[in-house]
Amino acid sequence: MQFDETSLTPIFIQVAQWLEDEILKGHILEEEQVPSTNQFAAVYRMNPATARKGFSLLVEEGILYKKRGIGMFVSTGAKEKIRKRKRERFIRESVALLMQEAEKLGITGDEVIEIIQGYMEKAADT
Amino acid sequence: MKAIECKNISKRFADVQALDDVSFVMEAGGIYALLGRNGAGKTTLLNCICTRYVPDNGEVFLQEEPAVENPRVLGDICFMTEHIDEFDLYAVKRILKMAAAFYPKWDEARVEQLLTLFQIRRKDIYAALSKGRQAALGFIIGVCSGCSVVLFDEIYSGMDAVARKQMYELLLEEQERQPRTFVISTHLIEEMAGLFTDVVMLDRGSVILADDMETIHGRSYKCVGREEHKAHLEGKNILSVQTVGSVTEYMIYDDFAEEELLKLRKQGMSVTAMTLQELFIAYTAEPLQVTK
Repeated sequence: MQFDETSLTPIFIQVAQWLEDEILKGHILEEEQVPSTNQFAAVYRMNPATARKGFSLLVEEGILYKKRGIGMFVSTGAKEKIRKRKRERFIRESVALLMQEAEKLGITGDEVIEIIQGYMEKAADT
Repeated sequence: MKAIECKNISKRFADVQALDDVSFVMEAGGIYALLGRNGAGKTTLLNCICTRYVPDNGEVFLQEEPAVENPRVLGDICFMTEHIDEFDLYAVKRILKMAAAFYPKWDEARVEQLLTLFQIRRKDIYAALSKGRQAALGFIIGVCSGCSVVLFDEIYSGMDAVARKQMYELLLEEQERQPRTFVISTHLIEEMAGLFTDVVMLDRGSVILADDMETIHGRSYKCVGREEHKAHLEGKNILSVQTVGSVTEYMIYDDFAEEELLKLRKQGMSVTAMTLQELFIAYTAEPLQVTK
């Protein structure tokens, strides 16, 4: 994982998104301890303050919780919460991007739906 | 607390104005990048901060006290460079003994571990060490000095990729273990960008940028489109323009509202963030006259 300096998304938010993705993929389980911010910062060669800010964001949102003197853990229900939010983001951003790109290429909305249906049929076959 | 404050520092060598009215503040606990092209005044500035040089004008404050001849704050600052001539004739153990006597908060327990990590033996003569190991010894002294303010001048010079990686990790680890202020001059911007909390950029003796990394990332834009797109960027701080055929790339250091970005994209421009290295080049490079 390389944090993208050329993205308009601030690095600490990219850190939060990385954690969300790892939880969603099941690489970090609920009630499991997440890496310490120091460890994370050292591995990804990042200022610990930046890493901390990303982790804190998820604490505020209830995705992670702190155990005093031990570290941070993934909350129960975090995965569902992330999935829900990512779904909303997918509809808001990814679909918008798809439609913009389609417009640029002169593909109409109906054609996009057709393409998606075709894609799904093909995926169902394999 | 302010770890370092420079107020209107100027320094001239013969006909070269090395520093010209330099003012900035560095807060305690940050890892500061000191960036600038060759001859921009980085080393002169570091020498002024630790009072090895006396500026022609202006004043330096360390931990909010005037620095000149102030033993309390000067015993609490360490300046290390890639190579130190005065060390040449001595064995490593002798150099470390001197450092231990000099720095009141010397961390002897840490020394052995770092020497092993960088494969330096106490019996080695400094001048006979490789360039990378000489630099590493400077890094070790800086870290083990226990000083609240540590200045490193191109300390990575000659280090191989593994040693540099170790150094970065140690730096971050140190900063967590015992927070202090690091000021690091570097040309390896791409490789080190993630380490820094703040940046001070010098160009021909003047400060051209002093911001924290988050602000910098939030204001660094690279907009790519056509020449006529320039109208949409009016009033923005355009640092450089580069054209490849009819494709034009604008490097901009400014604030953009969400709607402005949306509008630019609608007009067909692609907008990404410019990296710290790109920002540095856009700020300091002389426009190249390409002859056709």
